[in-house]
Amino acid sequence: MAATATLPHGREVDSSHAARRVRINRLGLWLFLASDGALFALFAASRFYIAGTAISPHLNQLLGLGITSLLLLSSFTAYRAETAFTHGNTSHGRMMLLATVLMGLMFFGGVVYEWSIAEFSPSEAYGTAFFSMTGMHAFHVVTGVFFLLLMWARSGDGKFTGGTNAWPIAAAVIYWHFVDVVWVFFYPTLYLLK
Amino acid sequence: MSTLNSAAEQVAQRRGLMVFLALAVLTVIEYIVAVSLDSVPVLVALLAVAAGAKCWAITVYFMHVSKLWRGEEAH
Amino acid sequence: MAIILGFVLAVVGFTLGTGVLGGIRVSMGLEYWSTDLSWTIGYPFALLGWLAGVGGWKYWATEWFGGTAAQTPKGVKRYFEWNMDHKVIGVQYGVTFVALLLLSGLAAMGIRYELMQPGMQLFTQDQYNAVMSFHGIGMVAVAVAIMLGAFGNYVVPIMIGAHDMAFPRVNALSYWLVPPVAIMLVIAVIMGGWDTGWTAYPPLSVLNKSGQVLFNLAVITFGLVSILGGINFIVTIVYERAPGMTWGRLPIFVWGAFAGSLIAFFFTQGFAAGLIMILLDRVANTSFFHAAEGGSPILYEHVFWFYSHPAVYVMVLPAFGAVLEVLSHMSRKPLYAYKWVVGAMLGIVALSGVVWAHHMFTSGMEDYLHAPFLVLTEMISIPTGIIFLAAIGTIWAGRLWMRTPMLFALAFIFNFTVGGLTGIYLADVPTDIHLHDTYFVVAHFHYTIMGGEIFALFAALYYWFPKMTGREFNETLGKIHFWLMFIGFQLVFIPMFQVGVKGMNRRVADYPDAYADFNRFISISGFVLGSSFIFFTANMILSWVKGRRAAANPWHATTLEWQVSSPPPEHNFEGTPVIESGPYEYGVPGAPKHAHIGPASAEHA
Ligand SMILES: [Cu+2]
Repeated sequence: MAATATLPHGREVDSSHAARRVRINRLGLWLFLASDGALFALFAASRFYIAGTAISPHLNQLLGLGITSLLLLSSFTAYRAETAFTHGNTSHGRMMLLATVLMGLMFFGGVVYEWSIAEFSPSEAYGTAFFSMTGMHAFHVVTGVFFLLLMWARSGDGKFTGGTNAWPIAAAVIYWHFVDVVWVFFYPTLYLLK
Repeated sequence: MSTLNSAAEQVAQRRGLMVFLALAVLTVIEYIVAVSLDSVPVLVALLAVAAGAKCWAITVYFMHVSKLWRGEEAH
Repeated sequence: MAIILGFVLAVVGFTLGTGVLGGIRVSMGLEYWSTDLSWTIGYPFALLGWLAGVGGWKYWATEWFGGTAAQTPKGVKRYFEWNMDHKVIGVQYGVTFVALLLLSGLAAMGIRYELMQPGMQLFTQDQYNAVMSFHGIGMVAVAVAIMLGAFGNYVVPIMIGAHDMAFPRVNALSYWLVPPVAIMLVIAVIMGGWDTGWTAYPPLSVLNKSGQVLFNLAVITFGLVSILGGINFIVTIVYERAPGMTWGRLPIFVWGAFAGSLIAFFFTQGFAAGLIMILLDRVANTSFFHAAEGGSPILYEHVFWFYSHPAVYVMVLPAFGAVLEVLSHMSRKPLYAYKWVVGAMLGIVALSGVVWAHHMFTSGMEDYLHAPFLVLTEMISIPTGIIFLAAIGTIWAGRLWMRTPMLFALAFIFNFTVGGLTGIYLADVPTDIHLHDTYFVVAHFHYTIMGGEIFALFAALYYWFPKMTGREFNETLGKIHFWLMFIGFQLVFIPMFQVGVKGMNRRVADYPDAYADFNRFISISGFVLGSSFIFFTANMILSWVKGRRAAANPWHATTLEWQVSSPPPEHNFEGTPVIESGPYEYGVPGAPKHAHIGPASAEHA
């Protein structure tokens, strides 16, 4: 039975020990993401410092739009997974986790393909920004896929289902959304300027 | 496809779909603006606004940033 | 045993990582080994092996894969492997970084021996660069980590009435990332060192020997230590305070740790980003700093100082906290202007992120940046001045108890004043253009970091020594340490201001004969300063092994850590801490006691 406390405005807040623990973990995760985000921001700022707003004319714009849409869609399935787990719906949650993993891998494949066909080298100013930023982001995609897969493998017996039990799922999903947020800024920075 | 359990879950899932559609529209707008505009300062400003809006929607609706100060909802 | 296993697994990981890389390279028709690239790829695997070996797998990560985490042992053994008790981690940090302090100090003695007369005596020029660079990064690491790592970890949770840090396992992780940093730096020196100092400016750092790569990997790891530690402190202080421990009742050291952690967690990426860019330029053929391809070495200075200026406040804010703590308890007076001090600390956090380019007035950066960075830098003297005035106000008309920690705390006030006032000449563009890269700068930052933070470190060390070890230290040896160190310190660094004004460059192994008299005097004073650490080390070892048993509260202080036994019990409190007033209510009529330990509650019984 969950302990609850009623705040002003009649909103009920879970005040059990488990909920307290989730609150602590949640702040820790967000601080980590803020910290990681600052690293990405420094690389994005460096892009403007060394290459201005120029982009390479050799970019495959359709590929860029494609992988961007794919990552966005994977954020949506990740959201579905988390929502299903918190509401006690293990089977749908697990399916959505797998879908997210799949799209994450396809995104990664897209970046690898992009690298293999790129007609510019990392030693050009724009290439420096492009390869370092997409590379760092792809590394986060891979770690995110790893966490999501771990959650998929371990959630079968329902131990991550319902309320605060779903925190590990929520943590992996929040991380995944963060990876998407980074791309929300990197996509226009790398592809859409001129 | 497995069925959704509760009314509460259905409401939450529908909200997710709406947010996703909004994000998709914004992405398409970004792309169209980028291919059709020539002025770099205007382009940078518009893209910054669009990216900021997408970032806001994801952090608020997908990442539940407000739980940081509102605590965990009781079920 | 755990450490040996860690070493073995590190070697296995390294061999594996470099092996896979080598295989790929050979299949592409390249040589198996490429020093820069092989270290960059092998090192992360070595790091994972090391962490798994020292206990990260057995006590933590196995859980992720469905295993059951083992129980950590009790007794002396727990200091030598993965342990999650914040008190054990505090001692681990303390001992490790005091050892690094002594080692880097030894490097300073070597530098002073070499500089005692013109010409080369002890080192070759390359060796001098290696030793100077090691001294630099070693001391920076000590200064960044020791206040928070040792005393923050040990004391902060007890001060706020918590049973441990918010993330005990992350805490253990961040400590065990430290030994690889030290080992990598030593290997780098053995491989011939790196000659870019601790700042690693390109283009040299992109072109020099492979020791640079090891330096970069080590310091990136150290950044992770700092970030994880910072996050842990912030969450602990936000969520683990005991009932009644409001923000307005936090001991000032907790505020200092909080403010320092805010900077550590948000700015450390700057250093990491800069070093990653150097690595990419070296191993991935990018052009961040190759001017010919459109890159810019100035970019590095921006990114680097974006962290490395705030870093001095990671060092100094917890030091402010510790000094004010000691001053208040040892003057038997409430801390003067508590709220202003807290405001000033947060003001420093805010300002610290917008002053970095005062290191770059002669770098060739954009001219229009000079004036704003001059003004913003000088603004930071307002909050620091408030803290200085609060220190004076606290001892004013107090009943000063002149024990060793108090002497160090008072010396901090003196030294930091000198450091602060000389900083004005470096913040002002016209004077800085003359003084930049001279010994004036060396003297200035040694007055702030050594005279400030390291003196504060010893104030804290002597103050909390009875609590952490359960033993009393030897007061006579402590006072000899203090006076030798204090006098030696002044005699080393005051002449350095003058020789700097006369134009002697820093970071040089040799100098014109005109500076010979100054340097002989500085070196001899340096050896006096160095000798003080013999008394310190002897005191620490003798007192820890066979000092008198310390009482729970030898200083008769009010804060929570002194209300429990020395050293405290395993989960800090036998009962539930109850906080009823501010932490420094000495002689305040009618004020209730700051804290007492109530009966054990059901939850933690
Ligand atoms: Cu500075």
